[in-house]
Amino acid sequence: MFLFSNFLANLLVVTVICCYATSAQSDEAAANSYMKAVELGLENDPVWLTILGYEEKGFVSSRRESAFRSSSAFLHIDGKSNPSSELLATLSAFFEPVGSGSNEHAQCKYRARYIWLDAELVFKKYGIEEQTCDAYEEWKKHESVNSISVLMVGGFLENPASYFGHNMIKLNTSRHNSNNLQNESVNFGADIPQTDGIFKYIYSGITGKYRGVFSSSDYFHFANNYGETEHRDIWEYQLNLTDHEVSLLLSLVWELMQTDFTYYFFDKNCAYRMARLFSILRGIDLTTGHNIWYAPQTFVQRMASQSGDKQIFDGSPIYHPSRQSRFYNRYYDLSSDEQNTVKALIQTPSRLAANDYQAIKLESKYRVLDVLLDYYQYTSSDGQGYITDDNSPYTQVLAERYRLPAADAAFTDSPTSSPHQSRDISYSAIAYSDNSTIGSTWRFRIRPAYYDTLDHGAGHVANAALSMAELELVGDGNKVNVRRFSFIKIERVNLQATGLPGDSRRTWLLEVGAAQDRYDDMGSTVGIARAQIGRAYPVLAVNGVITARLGGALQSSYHGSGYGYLSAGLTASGSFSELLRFEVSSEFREGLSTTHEDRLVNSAALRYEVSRNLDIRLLYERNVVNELGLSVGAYW
Amino acid sequence: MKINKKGFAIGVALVGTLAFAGVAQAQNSTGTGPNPYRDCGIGAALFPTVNWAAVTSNVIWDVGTTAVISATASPQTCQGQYVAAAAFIFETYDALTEEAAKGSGEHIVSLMNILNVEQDIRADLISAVRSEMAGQVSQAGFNSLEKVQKAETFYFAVVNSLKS
Repeated sequence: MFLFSNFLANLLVVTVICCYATSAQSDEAAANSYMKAVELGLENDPVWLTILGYEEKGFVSSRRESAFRSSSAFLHIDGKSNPSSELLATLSAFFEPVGSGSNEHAQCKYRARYIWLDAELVFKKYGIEEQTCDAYEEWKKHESVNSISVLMVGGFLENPASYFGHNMIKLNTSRHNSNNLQNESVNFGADIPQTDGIFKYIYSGITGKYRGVFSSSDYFHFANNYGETEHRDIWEYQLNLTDHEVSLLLSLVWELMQTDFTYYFFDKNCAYRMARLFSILRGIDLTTGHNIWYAPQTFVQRMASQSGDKQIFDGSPIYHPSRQSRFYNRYYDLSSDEQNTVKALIQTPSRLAANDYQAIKLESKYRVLDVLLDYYQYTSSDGQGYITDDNSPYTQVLAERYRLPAADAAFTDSPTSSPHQSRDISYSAIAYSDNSTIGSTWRFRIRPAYYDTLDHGAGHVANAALSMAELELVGDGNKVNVRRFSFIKIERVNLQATGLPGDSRRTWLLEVGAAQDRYDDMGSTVGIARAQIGRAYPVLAVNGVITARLGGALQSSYHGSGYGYLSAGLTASGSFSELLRFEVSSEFREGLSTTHEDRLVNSAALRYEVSRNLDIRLLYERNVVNELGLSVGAYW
Repeated sequence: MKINKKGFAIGVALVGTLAFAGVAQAQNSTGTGPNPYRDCGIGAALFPTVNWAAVTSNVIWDVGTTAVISATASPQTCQGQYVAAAAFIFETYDALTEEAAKGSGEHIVSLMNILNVEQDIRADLISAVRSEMAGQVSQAGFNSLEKVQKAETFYFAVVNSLKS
């Protein structure tokens, strides 16, 4: 019975292949290679499925389908859902006659399929005619790409798509006369019409209205924009891959650049698509079991945590500080005399010609001038406009630097932690509280992403808080209510700000969601949008900051709570050690209507990091009544 | 959108460049072929292989690279190492000129690589560029030049030093 069914299957294969291939010889070779592929189970091999972009679809059923949008990405009409049919069609196409330097031949267009299947089946045994692929060879700089790096780019609060950071890969070449900036980089992003406004942009990004595509370009475009313009640090993870693995990854990128995907901001984004690339190596799986969101930090954490045969990264990533980071690191590395010189020159640039500046040592001049160059570049592009209208101070400093003998300034680098060492991005906590009116309450908090002022880490925007869809429920044994829901909350506090002109210690907060109006009434949850802006003052002794902000809120009314209030708040935050951080806050709220009871709302929190993914927080809040609580939280 | 505004700003700057008859114009005197900044267009024309639309979700380009200014020279003329160098200088001008002032840096090395400058003459070339740029940057009108004009000045400081 088995032999008979095998015979029928083989007969079917030969018959089908005759429909694709054009000569009897290639028909037979393709058929034989296909039967060998089936014997090896290649049609369901994870690598084959990865190359074809197959993913599980639906929450209940385990329907498998390719994520490629375009049907032209497949050689078989059922290729999007039938990997076996696509394998047969692919092998047939590979055995078609070759042309001279044709880039349209299947061997070139579907380069990853070819390289992987060749490694599995050894096409030479089937007498395949090899096609030269000029366009592919030119793109991958022939054989010169000798390593691949994964890049983790820090978050950027001025572009919603970049809140959580970004991933891309860099193709490192060994070409003569080439360095890092000249390497090729590969990016995955949404193809966004320039006419789309911010709200449509966010809506379409979340609901999958944009197509996502892979593209490649010189790395210096990105290094310049991320590092110099957007002030985003970059961590480079150089991978340990064999030559064959490098070749396979390159070929997969090449194939994927010719198709497109549906872009989803939360899960099928740059991080997810980059992570999926690595599924063709050593059985690595960086995406299975991910949540409904997939963040760039998750990708590098999973990648760096692979062990044994799957370990593709060990050691430390290369840190590429942004202009902002360089400025702060260097400024705080200056002696107090050098800092005073910097301040004096900012105040009066013409003092470059004065005796007191001219009298300082040459090494100090280099340090002072380099800090000033960073300072002017940073302050001119952070939107505060300090030298936007007139950058003559910058030009004077640059001219002075040109006048001095050529030499680097000596600075001591500050130690930095890496994103892969950071805690996981999502957070859940359960707290027991004692409310002075209600009594014992339980609170449950869940934050899909990303960080608050007590737990920010590497790869996050320093001294900021960013959370999306954060929910906190409170229950007293009889009922459960929403204590707080933040559709989005952004808090920006620049702890490192120098206080120099243009590097203001400005701080701001924006939150949209819902919150209990008062803590003596479980049912007082109202919709709310609040904003504050103010100044921050660093307290270096505790690596902390004191902020003073003014603002207000608009809210839905509840039992005479009114439709909003004006507020003035003070907050102090910092750290006693690496593991122990604190925040104390006091806010006075004056109602916009007479029905709103003016009040002082206070809070204090102490966070102890038990381990990388576990913390304990002691919480105190006063909103009409007092509440003291203890929470245990886990990151996942 | 920001990109369009930036592109427009660069476009305006380029139109201004055409009327600009100052420092950089006088430097284009050693037969180095077309002036990439004026003859080849700038922005997308200088970076033909980049799929700009596909990367805009991750980057807010701030250097005018999406601006398209009609080129007056043929595409064939606007190829090669000098145009590549011009594009690189334009996009990374600030980092490049600061490294030149210091005498070394990753951007300077990249530029030398793009221009295929032999290792044994690089130090002399950098020294010559430093000398030329020290004079240019100190001139009264330099500060008020647009970025593309400053890039053009730097470009000719390099190219003329290389040819001399």
